[in-house]
Amino acid sequence: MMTEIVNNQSIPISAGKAFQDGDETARTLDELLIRYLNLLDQYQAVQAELAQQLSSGYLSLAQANSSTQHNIRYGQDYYDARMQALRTVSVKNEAQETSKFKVIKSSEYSGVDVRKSEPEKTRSSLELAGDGNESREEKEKETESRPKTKSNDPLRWFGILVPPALRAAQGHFARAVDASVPEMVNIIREIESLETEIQSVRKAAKTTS
Amino acid sequence: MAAPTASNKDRQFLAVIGDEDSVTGLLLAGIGHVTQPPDSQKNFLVVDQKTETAAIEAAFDNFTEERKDIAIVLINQHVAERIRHRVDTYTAAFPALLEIPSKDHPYDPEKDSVLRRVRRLFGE
Repeated sequence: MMTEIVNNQSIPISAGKAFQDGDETARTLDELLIRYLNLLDQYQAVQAELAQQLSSGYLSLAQANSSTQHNIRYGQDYYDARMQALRTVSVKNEAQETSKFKVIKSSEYSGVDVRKSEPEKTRSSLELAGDGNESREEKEKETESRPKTKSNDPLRWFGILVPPALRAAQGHFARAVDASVPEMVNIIREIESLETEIQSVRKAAKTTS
Repeated sequence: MAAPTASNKDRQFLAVIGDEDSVTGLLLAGIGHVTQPPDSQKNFLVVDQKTETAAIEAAFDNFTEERKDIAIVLINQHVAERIRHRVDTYTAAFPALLEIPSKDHPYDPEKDSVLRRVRRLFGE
């Protein structure tokens, strides 16, 4: 099926001699197309995964909204206007097409992933995010013994006692952001650069014929 | 094409343009960021039926062109549909653009820009 596509698309049937010259080109094109189709396969798998995680997230959010007795809607009315990002992106090979995106978690984040490590990058943002009436050192000491009172976990925007469904929603969205989102972005970039390559090989095949 | 390396190094935030649940969920995951006052620039826009298309476009321009600290822009597919011409003609390497499904508008392969390009590539 693949060869069919290659022959039909890139090498005019009438160009008999060019077809021989184009053997090499056709092979290159075949390889590119196989890579391309594999990537598409991956793309659709990650797409499905992302859709699944997000829809679980939306469902949990809806459950959280329906579980409150006070008609609270967990939404924009409660966003903290001074929020600081706890999940950020790091880009490898910024200047190139081959750049790879990765989502990194701030270690101050106590919401979903409770793994502890020494915060470095987020130090300044933590100070800005904090309320200021509690020193950083005290806060760190306290984290071990009792729940944080000055957590920058976005869950806290919605109060101290939030429904479990809201926490579950957070988990789903966090997983989507950590894994599927950067994976999708990386795959799409690879697909795009392959498309460019395929098109230029095709163009070259046409001009030689 | 790609902007100079130096500027892309500062690209660290995800941004989102979407309906309230999409934005709330992603902010719960901790991507939300508001810059220091007096600018207090948000990296998200909540879109509902009342939101003007011009406002969506403005946010899109802000995240993709004006701001140099955004690495990935997430946009609900149905919101992207409202500014489809802008989304489809967007070719810059940074920030990356990703369309995501929303609660009321599940993923539609027909509108998927990657799959539409595939069709074009195979000469449909």
